[in-house]
Amino acid sequence: MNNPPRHPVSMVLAALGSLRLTVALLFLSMFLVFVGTLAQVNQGIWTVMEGYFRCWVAWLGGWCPFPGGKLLGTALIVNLLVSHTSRIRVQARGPRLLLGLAILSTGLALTWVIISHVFDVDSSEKVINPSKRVTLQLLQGGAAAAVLYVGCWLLFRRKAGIVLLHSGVVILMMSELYTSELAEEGTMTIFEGQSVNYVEDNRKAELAIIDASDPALDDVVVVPEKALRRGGAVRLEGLPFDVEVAPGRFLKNAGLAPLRGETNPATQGEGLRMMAQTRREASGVDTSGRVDLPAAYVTLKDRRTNSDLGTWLTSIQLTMERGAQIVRAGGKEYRLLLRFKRTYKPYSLFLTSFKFERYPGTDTPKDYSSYVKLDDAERGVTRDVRIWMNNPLRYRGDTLYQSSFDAATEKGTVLQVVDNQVWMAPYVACMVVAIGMLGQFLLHLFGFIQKLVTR
Amino acid sequence: MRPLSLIAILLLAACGRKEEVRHYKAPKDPVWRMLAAIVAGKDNTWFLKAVGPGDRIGRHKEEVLGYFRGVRFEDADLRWTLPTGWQEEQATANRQATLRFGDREPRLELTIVRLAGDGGGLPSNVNRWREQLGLDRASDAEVAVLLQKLEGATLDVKIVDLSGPNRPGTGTRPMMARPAEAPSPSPSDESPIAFDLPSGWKENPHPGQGRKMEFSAEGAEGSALVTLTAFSSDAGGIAANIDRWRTQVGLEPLGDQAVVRSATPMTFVGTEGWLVEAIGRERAILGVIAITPGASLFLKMDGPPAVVRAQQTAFARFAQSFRLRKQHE
Repeated sequence: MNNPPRHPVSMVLAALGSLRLTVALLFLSMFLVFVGTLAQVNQGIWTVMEGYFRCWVAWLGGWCPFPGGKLLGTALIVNLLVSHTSRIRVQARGPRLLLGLAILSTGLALTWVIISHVFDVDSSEKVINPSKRVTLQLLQGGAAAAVLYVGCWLLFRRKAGIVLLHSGVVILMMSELYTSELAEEGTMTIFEGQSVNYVEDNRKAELAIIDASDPALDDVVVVPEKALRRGGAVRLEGLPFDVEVAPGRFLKNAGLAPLRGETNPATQGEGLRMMAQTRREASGVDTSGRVDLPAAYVTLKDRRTNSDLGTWLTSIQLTMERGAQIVRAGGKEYRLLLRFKRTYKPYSLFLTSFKFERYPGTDTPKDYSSYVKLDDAERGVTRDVRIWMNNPLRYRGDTLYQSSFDAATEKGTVLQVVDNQVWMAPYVACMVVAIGMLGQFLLHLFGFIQKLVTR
Repeated sequence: MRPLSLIAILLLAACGRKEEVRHYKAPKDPVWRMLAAIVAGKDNTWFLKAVGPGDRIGRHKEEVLGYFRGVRFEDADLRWTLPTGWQEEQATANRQATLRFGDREPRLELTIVRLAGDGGGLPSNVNRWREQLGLDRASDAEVAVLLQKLEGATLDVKIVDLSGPNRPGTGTRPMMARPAEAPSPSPSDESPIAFDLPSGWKENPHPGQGRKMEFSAEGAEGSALVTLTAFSSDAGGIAANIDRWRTQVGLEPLGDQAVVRSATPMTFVGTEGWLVEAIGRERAILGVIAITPGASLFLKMDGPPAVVRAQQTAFARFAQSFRLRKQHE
């Protein structure tokens, strides 16, 4: 007897939710992690993250296309959802179904609330012991997971644990997707007596053109590193000129060297005296913590006359050592500089003092703390805060960790500032997986004991 | 979650994060300001410097200028009356005094340093300060314009008001004041320090343990070893190190008087240093000690007295030639 022909949609769903696909995707993911790890011998960790994991297609060795981390992760989520939808059936009817749905909805709402860190008190208001804080976060996640498990038990009975632990995996993957797309990270460097309201991301550069003629505020136009790397002309609205980067004129990591008769693309500014020399990118296995210092030769073109305003050598090292270069156009002066990507915050931190303790008789750091004054004019907040190791300040969705300090003076602090709205998601996901596994284990254990008793 | 969008992430990811040209208004970058006064005496020159964030120094400018106007000479030394609310800290080997002022913590600092003679001259000092603030060097003519006579002052006081992006003492812009992320040197530019090696001296490319540089100076009676060492602390301070050297060559330690009696102030790698001479019967040491907050540098010549004496002028010139390497050097 022939089987009736299957509907095409069923066939597609069967393929998308197949266990073979799961195994294949996991195998491909493992291979990607393996080659991505090897790539860090020569490439920086963030270059590998962007080129292998946070992309749809990874170009292995620069030429071989391979599914990127984003594609594999999305495929795994789809595979998981489809396989669960097609294989796991709701085993409740009537009032039990309604109760199960209600409890599951409550659990989902609770999970959402916890990930949205509604329960997270602004840490600048009170100091919590780090171990207590982590325990509290895990307990919050555990509470949500417990409610979810009850809902799942009412709806899926013996498969409740399986549904729950896979949901935890989905939360974990979604949070990473969110982090890769929307989270921002940078450092805030403040010296004693100074107030700073921006963070710099030393993984990315930007070309800044600043009109500083207004005594109150600077008029800033920034071109992101992506546009510089892509090359070609970039239109700069609000400025009398556009910028153009010739192919290969953006260098991911470069030093500066004096000109000794070499030909240099620069026709203006500091580039008449020095040139950029490509350096090996700081690799993922580099333990010195060096960062790449990009450089770019940029050509400025007067938009009205289409005349060339010159090609300028811009480099982060140059900016650090000599500051901005001055470009004159349209009767105005503009400051031109390549700098690390800058993000302004709605609050500022004033460093009152930086304390650094060493282990006696050594140069080994024991503890360092930043005593800052948090100032948020928008919300009318002014508060003294201490930020020290394992005790970050959480404020307005940002987490500010004590990261480093100015070794030359020991009078300046470097804070790592992370803006990640879903930072609680991994805690919750771990507890959801744990409760799911525990539930499934106990179910089998009770079943086994019951069988023994019955015998 | 503020962006109510965990579910919409897939859509967002599909579109990819857009990084476009941005145009915005931003507050001006913080600047560091130095309000300095130079007072020339008969045998010494005094350098008085108030350094801090631009806005804070600006708020106290008149107060600082008022203090500068009131300085006077008594017994060939500079004296002053402390303005209300100011505090004076104990003198150190490097500084005649440190004054604290300002209405909020951390209080601003005004340092007073006395150097012998003209202290290296006005242009070189103004340019050293300009470099510390991240500004280009100025020509002598430009320095003459920058230096202004302070009206209403008891003495002949020259003042200079400088602002720049760097905090003096760090040598880097705030955005890079992170030790682990300092730019790596190019192979041809491994040392940040440049110097002029006296003729006849040889540099050892493989300095001994703990030494940054090592040289040898040959003489008829043997050779002297010249070393440069650096520490991330004051390494005991200037007086203790002078006495250590004195003891090594068989001289009596001088205690707290060591600095006053056996050291001459000089500029070393752009900072205040002390030239020390300890000549014993069988061994002699010439040295330069420079101590800044959190770091100290020691340049030392060690050898037979005859060799060291013969190299005394060359050593002093060698020490004076030490400077931070510029990009084009």
